[in-house]
Amino acid sequence: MDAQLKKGFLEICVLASLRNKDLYGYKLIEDISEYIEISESTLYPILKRLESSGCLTTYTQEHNTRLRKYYRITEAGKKRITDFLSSKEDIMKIYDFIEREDEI
Amino acid sequence: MNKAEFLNDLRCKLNFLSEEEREKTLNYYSEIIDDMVESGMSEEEATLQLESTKTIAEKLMPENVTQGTTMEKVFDFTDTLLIKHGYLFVLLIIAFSFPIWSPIVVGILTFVGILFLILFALIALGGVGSVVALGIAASFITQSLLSTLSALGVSMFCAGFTMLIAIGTFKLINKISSFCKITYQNVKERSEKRRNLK
Repeated sequence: MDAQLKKGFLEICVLASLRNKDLYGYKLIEDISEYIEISESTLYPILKRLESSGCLTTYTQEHNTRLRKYYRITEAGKKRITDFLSSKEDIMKIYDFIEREDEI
Repeated sequence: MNKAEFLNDLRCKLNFLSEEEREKTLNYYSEIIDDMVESGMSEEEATLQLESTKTIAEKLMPENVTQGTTMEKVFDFTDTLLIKHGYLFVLLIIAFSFPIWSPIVVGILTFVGILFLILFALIALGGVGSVVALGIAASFITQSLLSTLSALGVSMFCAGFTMLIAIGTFKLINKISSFCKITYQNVKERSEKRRNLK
């Protein structure tokens, strides 16, 4: 997949994974990997960006005598998912356009 | 590599980050390795599955920091001179400062020349040494096993040494040529931009 496009999708995928539950880094990778390829080093800057743009917050919790960082979605993050989903029609229009132009 | 080795290696390669950012990144990878181990992998398997520390560091690096800034500064400086005072002025400056920059240029060129001369001499020497030692090994083959083996060892050492130097030289040439290409590209872009400004 196109790298720029993938970057955009991955941000929303991370937010979508966090929609109903808080998750830690490794679990996020496991969940998202089922649908789209993601590596640890790709996830890291995405998490940083989402945190600095206020789409998610973090907290640490003890797990098996060590610390684990959990990520929690914010209202702003939820809004980004809704915005993304509501643009589906527009995206489909772009696909149609590209396909049509390609056929001629 | 086990977890501690991996994190140590990564710490060294992330020296361009601030202390805080570095620790954050290391914590992130430390936690991921712990989770991988918890899911049934050994530390070695976990670090193998991760990307190399080099790749991780490269991805976190702000793009071409050193090359960008120093080069940009030099180009910006010449740009302002050219726009403010025109080509003639700059040419005059270059002409009059000849006694200053010419020894520097000659010095750099001589240094690079001698460096390559030494490198190529070492490659030739190593190559010849390896072949000669191989010959000596062959001549000892009917007489003494020990001498044959030691000569063979020397030959292998020479061959390895030659390869090492050759690879280094090749990389150096690549670096220099990419530097020249980038500089040329920059100069071209800048002069086009100046032309468009007029």
